[in-house]
Amino acid sequence: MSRIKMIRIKHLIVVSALFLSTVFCFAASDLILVEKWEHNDEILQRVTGSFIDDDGDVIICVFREGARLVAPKKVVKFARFGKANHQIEDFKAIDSYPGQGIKNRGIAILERVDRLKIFKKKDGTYKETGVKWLTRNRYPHFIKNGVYIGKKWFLAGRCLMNFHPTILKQSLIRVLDDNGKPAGTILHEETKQDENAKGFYAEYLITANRARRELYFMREYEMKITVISPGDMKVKRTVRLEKPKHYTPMPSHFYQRIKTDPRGPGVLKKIETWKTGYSRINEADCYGDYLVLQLVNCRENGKNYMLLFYKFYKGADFKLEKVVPTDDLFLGVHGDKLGDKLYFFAGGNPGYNEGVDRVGIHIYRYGPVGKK
Amino acid sequence: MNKKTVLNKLLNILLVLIITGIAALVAFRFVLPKKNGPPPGNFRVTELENIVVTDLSGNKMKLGAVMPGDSSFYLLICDMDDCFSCIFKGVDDMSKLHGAGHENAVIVVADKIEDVNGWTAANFPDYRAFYMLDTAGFYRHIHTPVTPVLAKIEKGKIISFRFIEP
Repeated sequence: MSRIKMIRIKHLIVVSALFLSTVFCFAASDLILVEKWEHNDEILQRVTGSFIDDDGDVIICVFREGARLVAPKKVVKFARFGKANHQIEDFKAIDSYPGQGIKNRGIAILERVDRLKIFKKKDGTYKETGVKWLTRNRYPHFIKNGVYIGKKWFLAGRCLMNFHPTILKQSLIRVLDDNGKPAGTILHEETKQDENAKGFYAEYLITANRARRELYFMREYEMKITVISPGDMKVKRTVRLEKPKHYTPMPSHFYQRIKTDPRGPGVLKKIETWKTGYSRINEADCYGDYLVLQLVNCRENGKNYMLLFYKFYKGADFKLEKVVPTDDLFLGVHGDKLGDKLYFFAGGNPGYNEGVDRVGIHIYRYGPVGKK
Repeated sequence: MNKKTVLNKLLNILLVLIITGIAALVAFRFVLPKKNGPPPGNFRVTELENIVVTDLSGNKMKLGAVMPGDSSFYLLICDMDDCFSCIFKGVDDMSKLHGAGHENAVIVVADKIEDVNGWTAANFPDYRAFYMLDTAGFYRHIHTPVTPVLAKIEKGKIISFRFIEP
């Protein structure tokens, strides 16, 4: 064998080894960063809600500020907090809202318990195009989250059904039809007045799996998922979720600590401190055949959050497949031709985590690119 | 120590106590500053008949034109952000009063008639005697520690009122 041939074979081996090691590295890393947006805009308050629109742009709602549209090249404040037109009074829930044809699809922000504002995208920002009033519940309704599916709004949060002095009857999901009229209530509970603070402070999460036409409901303090059929508004089943290794549960009496004057000064700060001390569920969304949950990570010197992938395909009923520690705040999932992408706010939640103030979006894929 | 000295001492103590009491009373009555505003529970409306309200069609009118001159009239004043159970109860009472033949109206404190229209249509489709009073008009004419408040009016004067609780 000539010397030149030997050199060529050596080169081939080296190149092959490099290629294989690269492939191996990517295969081993389950969460692959595919895109990164960086902006100079600042956010100093906590992110209270997020949504990924049809174009893959991110809508972030910031406490006491309002809604911002974050695109790869710019950040636009399109609905500040206020009572005027094109402003929102508060933020309860957000989802896409159909218009005349897919091109006219917009977003709907539930800003008050009884009012939806509809926005359409125009010239790279969102403009308010309509207002829809909803029928209120006679008793208080603490909306924490909501999804729009099958021309119905499913609003998660305690909805009182009486004002009994000792026992409170309530439903955890209230359903409204497209005209804003009540269509039913799901998941009824009775609690003692001692646990009244749950109504104010406990977070409830609801996410839609549009491909399977299922809704997943969770309480922040419980690793349990309730599967609901949006068509007949019935509970299909309840599944106990496998806990990750470093899960720190909230004590059962967590919300009973606030016994006097739940709205008094300092209580919100205490609640924040307590809530960051337990592995509460922070965000949930569906990614292909996975349910993705983000939990607060309470390990010392660890990352801010844990990202949990529960798979529900091929007979697996929410089997925990992977736990990925991350500092970034999970915002939601949006799909493109290659598959779904996971969107994150870089560094954590500006209101809770130190040193996070610049708007940055990290976009990841889970598993081999394109796999669903 | 004889009996007289003891009596004198007791009298002195009594005198000091009485003087201290009188001083405290004078201080509370005249020296200490009074609290600002009306005491809690006070409800007052100025120029009742001249309050300009807007009906659901957007027409402006004086409240005097809405109220009957001779018979009694019931008025519920509320804000859309008030406790909704209280508003619900108040409007329910107004419907019952209407059914019993008593004239009444609900004044909603707001600045956009579209908001009042949407809110009332979604929540009270069967009761339509709603009028809007703008926020400036509310502060000018209506003095109340809390809303909603339901008032009974006769011959242009408030004769009784009730703050509605859930």
